[in-house]
Amino acid sequence: MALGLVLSAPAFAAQTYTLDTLHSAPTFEFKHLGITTQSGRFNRVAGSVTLDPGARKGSVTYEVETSTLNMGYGAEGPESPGYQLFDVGHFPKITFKSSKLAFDKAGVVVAADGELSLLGVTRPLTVQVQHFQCSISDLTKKPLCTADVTATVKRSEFGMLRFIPSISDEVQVHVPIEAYQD
Amino acid sequence: MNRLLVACAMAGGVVAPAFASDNYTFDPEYTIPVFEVGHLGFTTQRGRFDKMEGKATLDFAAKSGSVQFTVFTNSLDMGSRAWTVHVSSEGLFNIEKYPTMMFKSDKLIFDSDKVVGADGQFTLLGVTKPLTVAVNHFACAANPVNHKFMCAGDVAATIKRSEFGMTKYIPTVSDEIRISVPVEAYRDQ
Repeated sequence: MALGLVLSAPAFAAQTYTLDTLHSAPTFEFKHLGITTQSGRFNRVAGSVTLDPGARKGSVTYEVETSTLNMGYGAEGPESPGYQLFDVGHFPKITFKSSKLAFDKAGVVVAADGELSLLGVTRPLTVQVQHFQCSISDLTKKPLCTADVTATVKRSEFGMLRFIPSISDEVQVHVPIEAYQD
Repeated sequence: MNRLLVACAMAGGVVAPAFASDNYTFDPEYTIPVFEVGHLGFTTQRGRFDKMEGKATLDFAAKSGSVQFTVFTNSLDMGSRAWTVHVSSEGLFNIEKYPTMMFKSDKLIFDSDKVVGADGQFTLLGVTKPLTVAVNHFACAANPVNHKFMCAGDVAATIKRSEFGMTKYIPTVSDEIRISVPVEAYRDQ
């Protein structure tokens, strides 16, 4: 153990965390007909986070498998509107990457400036981070960092124009993150 | 937009005295209950029930109405099979013993001509308790896509699951559950 600490000392400053994919699935909300707030989800994601709280630096990569779209209407497939909107056949992944996490004075992550790739279009996106906290998990006894991430995306900026305005241009994204230290 | 307004005005004219009270049936594709819980005290996790049925009556002249909403618990969808099975099990939604959850109200709350809430009874795990839900963004209009007259809104409520006997995993999984139900209901022909 001591040996391990010595060996890893210089690199120790930045820790890497891997997402618990079960508890890190994104949901999104949009307005239907300008009235109701409908939501959908992607069931499968992968991602990792590096954190160096001392240096107030960190990065994140987050990948969504578009084929796991789940609207609650039953099985999605090539003919379903959801698959067509996300053009699942051509774009198997939605990705968000940031190497610029924003920390507050207390060293808490509060936002991330990054880039979202959707339908092959990559654009800057700033996401908000709430409830950020690192602790030892009661369940697994492993170091864990968690947060609720939110963002607002205008899908038209990524070329997703279909069904606007019946299905709103603006989409609210919510991603709970639970990431265990490697 | 004009079409919506015209449809509204027409519908208002037609329904006035003859059909003081109209019946509405919830559209299952756009009425899907979502719930949120706090997990580990930190993150907000969401689950969903994919199947429900609901009916409402609305009498705008009398500013009264009722609603009956049944959720089929075996349509629980947490996004992964393992998690869904876990949350369906005894101690949580216990779907084999309790195949439905229900909300009933015969006291819709109006503000002018909009429904803004409902005082009713919620049944979960066989326990029935009073529950007041809020209704946001309420509007009635002809759906511009299929031209059928509908009333819609976002229903929101907060419950404490412990009050219904669902105490497992508190506080790892929060006692408080926030419920959001978009409702789109078509007027019966």
